[in-house]
Amino acid sequence: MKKQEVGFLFSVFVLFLFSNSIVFAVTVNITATVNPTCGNGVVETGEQCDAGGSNGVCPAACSVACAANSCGGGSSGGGGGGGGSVYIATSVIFSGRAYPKSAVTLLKDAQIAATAIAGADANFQVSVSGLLGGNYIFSLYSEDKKGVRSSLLTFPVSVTSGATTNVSGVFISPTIAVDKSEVKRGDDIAIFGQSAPQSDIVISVNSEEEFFGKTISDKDGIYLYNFDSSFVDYGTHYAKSKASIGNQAVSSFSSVISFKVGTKNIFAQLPNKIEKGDLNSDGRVNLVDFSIAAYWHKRPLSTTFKPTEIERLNGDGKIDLIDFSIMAFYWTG
Amino acid sequence: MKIENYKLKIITPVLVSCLLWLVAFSSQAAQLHLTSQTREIGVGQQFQVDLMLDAEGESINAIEGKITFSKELLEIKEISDGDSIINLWVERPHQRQATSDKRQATSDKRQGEIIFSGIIPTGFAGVLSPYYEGERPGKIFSLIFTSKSEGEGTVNLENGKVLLHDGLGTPAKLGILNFEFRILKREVRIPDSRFPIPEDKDSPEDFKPEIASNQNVFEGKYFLVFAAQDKGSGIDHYEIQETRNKRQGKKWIEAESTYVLKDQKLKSYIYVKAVDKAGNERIAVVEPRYLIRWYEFPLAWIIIVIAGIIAYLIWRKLKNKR
Repeated sequence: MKKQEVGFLFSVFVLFLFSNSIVFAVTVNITATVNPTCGNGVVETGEQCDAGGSNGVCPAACSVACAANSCGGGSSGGGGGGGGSVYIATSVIFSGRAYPKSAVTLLKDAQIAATAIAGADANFQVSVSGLLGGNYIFSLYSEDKKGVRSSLLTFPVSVTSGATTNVSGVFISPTIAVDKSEVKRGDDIAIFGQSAPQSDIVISVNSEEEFFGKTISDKDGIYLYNFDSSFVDYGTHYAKSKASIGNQAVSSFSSVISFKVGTKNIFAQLPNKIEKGDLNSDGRVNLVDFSIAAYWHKRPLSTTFKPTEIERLNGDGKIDLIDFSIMAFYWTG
Repeated sequence: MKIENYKLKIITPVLVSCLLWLVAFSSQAAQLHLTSQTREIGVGQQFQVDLMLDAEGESINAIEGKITFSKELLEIKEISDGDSIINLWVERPHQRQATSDKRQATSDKRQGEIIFSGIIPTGFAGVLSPYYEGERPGKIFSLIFTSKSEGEGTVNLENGKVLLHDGLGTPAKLGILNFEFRILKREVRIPDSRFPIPEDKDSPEDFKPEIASNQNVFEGKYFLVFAAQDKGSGIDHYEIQETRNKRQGKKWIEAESTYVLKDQKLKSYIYVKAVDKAGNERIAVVEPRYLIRWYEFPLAWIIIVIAGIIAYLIWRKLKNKR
């Protein structure tokens, strides 16, 4: 009995460590590229200013990329003999893995800023330019062959004026779907989706106990795992997946999908419809939905809007911060 | 058997304490800090207080609260939300308006209140940068005060609420750090002071207004939504112009997102001007959804009438000649 207690405590401990490692394993590399002569204290071609070692963030007048900080007082740099204004592009480039030939969407401060198509090897690169120095919240998502969206990956990045910031090693989480919304206990339920080709996919089914299954995606990034429902009790269960390649690149977990273990099989539809947060039913959650919710903020709801609030938000009969938070979670831009 | 018990006596407390430590470590609360470069200010000096969000490993997507301060000690000069991590304001930070309630009005004279609420769609866990490791707190907004009289006080955050990015709007555990200050008679040198605030020379960023309609708002009428970002001084206001001419006119009207369109036939060009607090502008154009037919231009009718008159005059002249 005591051995079992130790075993239990140890397994909880290991699980706890594992769950933390999941969070910290998902990393990206962030680098900035600036003019190589920037920082030598001499204003040269392509530089707006150069204060040498004093270059930096506000209140420094000159950024580390040798562009005048928009906050920075006191103009430095050489008095402009003749050449017209110097244009230094400020941009951010995201690169990494999505799904083969999938569309990757980049949001900048909650609005769609760029899209790109991943190659057959799932590698993508998407960039946005014309930025200013400051804090931006970038988010990336992709859509698989069947139109199922990945969960959002968010990168709040401090962008340096005049520099190209590279965010590499992004690994978009797999998509996930199930073939049955209800499975007869004892039958298999297919858990499937798309990721990068030849990725190790870990599928987690959460019930009272957490079950982990492993499979490998094919050359198109498609994966399929048949889960034996006799392992879990009757009731609702949740599944999610994540991908890794050679223990170097690890994605975050996919969105969570639910299924019921019951007495009959009911086939499911693909989870490519967004419902929560989508107040105008256009399949997107964006500024329009935010504006509709903002209209009803601190106002009694009309009889026509009440059913929408119940179905698409938290259903408490009013619009408050919780409803906006729900909308923010399901945001697509 | 005894050895087993001995092991158990050692392992169990070690494991339990490790678990407790990990639980404590992983359940740190998100923090809202009111920070400034200085805690000591001279009478009549300006200083800046920033409201910062430290997510502490959580992902946060909504925030609201109220900042209070003594009006006898401080006067608010400016509220700056440039470079904020909040992308969409439900209530842009603003001073609470004075009420007609007498008791409240007395309190209003003594205490200033800044109310705010907003969201970070897609969530916020901390700011990343190529120039440091890990994640740093993000700025919600800045308050620029002028000190009025000698004394001590605090700028407080009240009713602060941050919600987790979990799809349910679950409140996150929240730690609050208020800002304590001392106002001295003599002038104080504020380290790294940015006053006077340098000029913001950059226009707001490109933005894309969108036309929408929904039976649940504005009686189903078409409305325009827009949100521009300005990383410098922050957006001050928007102006709108609807015109059936492609050429931009001079008449602008101040407006907010959401704006109910005057031209519900959607045949007008819509110009939206975002103006930042330094006066820099960015104009976005929405093309008409439907083409204007030639007979809808007043100029076309003027030309037709003039042409008709000329034709009539020529015809009469020719007739008289005969």
